[in-house]
Amino acid sequence: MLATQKPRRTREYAGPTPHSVAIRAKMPSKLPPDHLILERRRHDDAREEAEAVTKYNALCDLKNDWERITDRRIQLNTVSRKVKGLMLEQEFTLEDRRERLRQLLAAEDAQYLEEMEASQETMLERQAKMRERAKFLKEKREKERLQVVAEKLDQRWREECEELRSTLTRRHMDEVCLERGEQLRIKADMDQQSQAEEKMYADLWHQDMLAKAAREEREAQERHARNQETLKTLQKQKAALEAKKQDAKRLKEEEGRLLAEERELRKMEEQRAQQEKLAKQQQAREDIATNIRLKTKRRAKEMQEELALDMNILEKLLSDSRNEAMEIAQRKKELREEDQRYREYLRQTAREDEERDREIDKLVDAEVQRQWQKRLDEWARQREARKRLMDNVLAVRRQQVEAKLAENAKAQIELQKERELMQAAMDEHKRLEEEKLAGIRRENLAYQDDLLGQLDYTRRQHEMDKDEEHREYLKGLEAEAEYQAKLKEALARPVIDKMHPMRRAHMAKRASGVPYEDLM
Amino acid sequence: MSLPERYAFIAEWYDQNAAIIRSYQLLFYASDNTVEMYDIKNRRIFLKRSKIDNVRFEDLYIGGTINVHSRQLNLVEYADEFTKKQLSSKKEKTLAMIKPDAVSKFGAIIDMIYGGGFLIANAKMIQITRKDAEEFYQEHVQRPFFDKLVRFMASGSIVVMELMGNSAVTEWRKLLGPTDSSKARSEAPSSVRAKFGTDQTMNACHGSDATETGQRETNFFFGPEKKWKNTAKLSGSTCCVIKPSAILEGKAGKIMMAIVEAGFEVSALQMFHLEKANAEEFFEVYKGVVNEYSEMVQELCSGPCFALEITGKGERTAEDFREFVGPADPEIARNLRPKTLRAIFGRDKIKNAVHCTDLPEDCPLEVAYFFQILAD
Repeated sequence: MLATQKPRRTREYAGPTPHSVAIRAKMPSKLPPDHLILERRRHDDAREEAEAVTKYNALCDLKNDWERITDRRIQLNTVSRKVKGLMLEQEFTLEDRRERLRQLLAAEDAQYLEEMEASQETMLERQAKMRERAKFLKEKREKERLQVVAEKLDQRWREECEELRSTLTRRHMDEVCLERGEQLRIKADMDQQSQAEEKMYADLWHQDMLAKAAREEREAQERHARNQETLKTLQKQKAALEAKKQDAKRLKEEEGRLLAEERELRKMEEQRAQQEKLAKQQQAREDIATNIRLKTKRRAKEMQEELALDMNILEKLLSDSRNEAMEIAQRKKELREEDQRYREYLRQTAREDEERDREIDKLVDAEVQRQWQKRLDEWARQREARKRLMDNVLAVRRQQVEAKLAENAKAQIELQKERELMQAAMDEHKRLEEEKLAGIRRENLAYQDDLLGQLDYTRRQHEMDKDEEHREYLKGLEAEAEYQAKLKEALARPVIDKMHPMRRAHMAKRASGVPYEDLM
Repeated sequence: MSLPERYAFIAEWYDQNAAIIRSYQLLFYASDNTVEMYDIKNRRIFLKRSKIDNVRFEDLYIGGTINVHSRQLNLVEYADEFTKKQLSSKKEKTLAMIKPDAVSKFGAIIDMIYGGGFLIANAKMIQITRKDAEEFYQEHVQRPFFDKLVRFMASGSIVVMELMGNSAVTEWRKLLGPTDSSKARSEAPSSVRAKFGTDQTMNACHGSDATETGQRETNFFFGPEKKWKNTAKLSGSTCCVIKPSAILEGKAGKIMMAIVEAGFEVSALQMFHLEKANAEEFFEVYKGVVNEYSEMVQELCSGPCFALEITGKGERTAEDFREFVGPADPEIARNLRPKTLRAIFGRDKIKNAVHCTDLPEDCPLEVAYFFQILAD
């Protein structure tokens, strides 16, 4: 939308030309000019009215509340007053009841007390009771006395009645016989029992002995087996030692044989070297001889050829000289001279040849010598190598042998050690065996001591028993003697316990010395 | 056993001051009769392991009440598996019911129960309606004798008891003898039915056949769902309370027998586990009158007690019964009234076997306190 198209908010209107503007007229207010005051008055009136109503309501509320609260309070107070009254009444009734109860209980207590007192006894009653009790006691005592008297009377009658006594004696005898028979039976039983016990003990002893014998036999067998075992072990060890020794010996022999072999080898080698040297020398000689022969042959051939040539020349010359006689003589002379010179020359040549030969020989010799030397060197080297090889082999062999020897020695040392250990073990074993034997011997000795002690104890017991018996016998003798004495005395002066009263009185009187006649 | 035997229970105590029920873990050490308490909510030891004389192992069972330092604790649950395993068979519960024909001999039957080694955890004498009887015997509804049985059950008051003991269900059935009373007389002459039963229906007592039925029947009578109307007459009667010490010594049955033999009638009976506040309220008349008030309260709330409503002698019931009970101190009673209840069963002035209403005008109050206020 364009700016010009925006609806206007102002009252201004722009004209068609610049700076031309119109303002729309403003209509006058419809409200009266004092409407604000009027409005204000109206509001105030309304507020005042509302305030009046509120005040009136508050007053009414207050009145209502007051009435309500007061009513409730009155009601509450009434109720609490009533409740309090009731409670009080209740309490009063309770108190009343308590009082009545108290009275009732007090009355009851008093009544019970009275009754209790009434039930207690008086002095008179007590005296009467005591009297009664005394009477009762007296009666009781009298009754007891009478009973005793009756008993005594009965006893006297029993003692004095001959018939009864004889019957009683017979009965007693019967009883004694019966009991004696019983005793004998019991004794026989006991004997039998003791015999059975002894038999049982004997059986037990026999069994024990058998068991011991069996055990000893078993132990002996075990010991034998053990010894056998030890022996076997020792034999095995010995065989092992022997084998070791054999081994060592064999090793030594082998070493010797090896050394001999080596020596032989060396000898053979030397021999072969000698042979070879000789063969070489022969060869060289032959070669040189061949050389010389060939040389000589070639020389001879050369000489013949030279000679032939010389002859030819000479013949020519001779043919020339025949022509000329003087010349021939001359020639002859010359020839002679020539011949002589030739001869000299030949001799010289021969000497030279010889010298050369000698030189050649010398050279050949040198050569041969050199070759030979070379060959020798070669041989020496080869020998050296062989020797080194041999040495190596031998060293290895020796080493092996030495190792074997060392092993041997070690084995021997070990064997020695083992033997020592074995020896120690055997010693230990022997010692233990001895100790065991000593222990067994000691035990046996202890057992023997015990047995001896037991024997001694039994013997002593026997002696003591015998002593005791003897003493008892002596005592018996003594008692017998005493008894006899007493009997004699009693017989001599018989005293009668239960004397007749008449008789006792009589005796008493007589003792007091009243004459016998007075009593009559 | 090498382990020290420690039984754990969840115990609840009603705190009067805060008016809330606080729960504790109660640990009982059988080796030396000591008790330890652990506050579950605050997670700390409430009572260090200490010896409590009046707590015995036999008193510890679910639903039982023990008294620790004057706090009455109700055991509501086993606190560990060991205790549960050890005690659930040992402390089995069963329902015993004395039928209308044998209610007059309930003293002898209760004596036999105590003699048989059972513990009576709960008991009350009630009157059931025909509907209740039908509901109770619902499993016999098809049997021909159902109608007769139901009519018989609704014909008079019955005594229901919750017995507890080592495999109580089978032991109680053994003590009851065969269902048919005539058969019982020939087979087990010393059984309850042989002694008190008449025939197959009127066979003196009922016992649960299994643990589950025992549970159900116990719940039927002692559960919280149902309110049972007791048989209290509340007029012309006096109140007798057999004290916990006498019950502990197994004398309750003999005391009841003696009461019935003396010509009194027991018109209502119920077992209560009194709390200290209840005991104080009950004995409020004696406060300040007798010196042994606090010991009396202590004794009454030390365990379960039987409350009996005694009638049968018209207007003179209260006086006659008081005469029959004898002086409060058994020593005096033995000297002066050797035939009275306290002379025979009492031990000392506190443990004097029974409490009876002293003031004649207190009789309705005390009877109403037990059978109206506490029973509801």
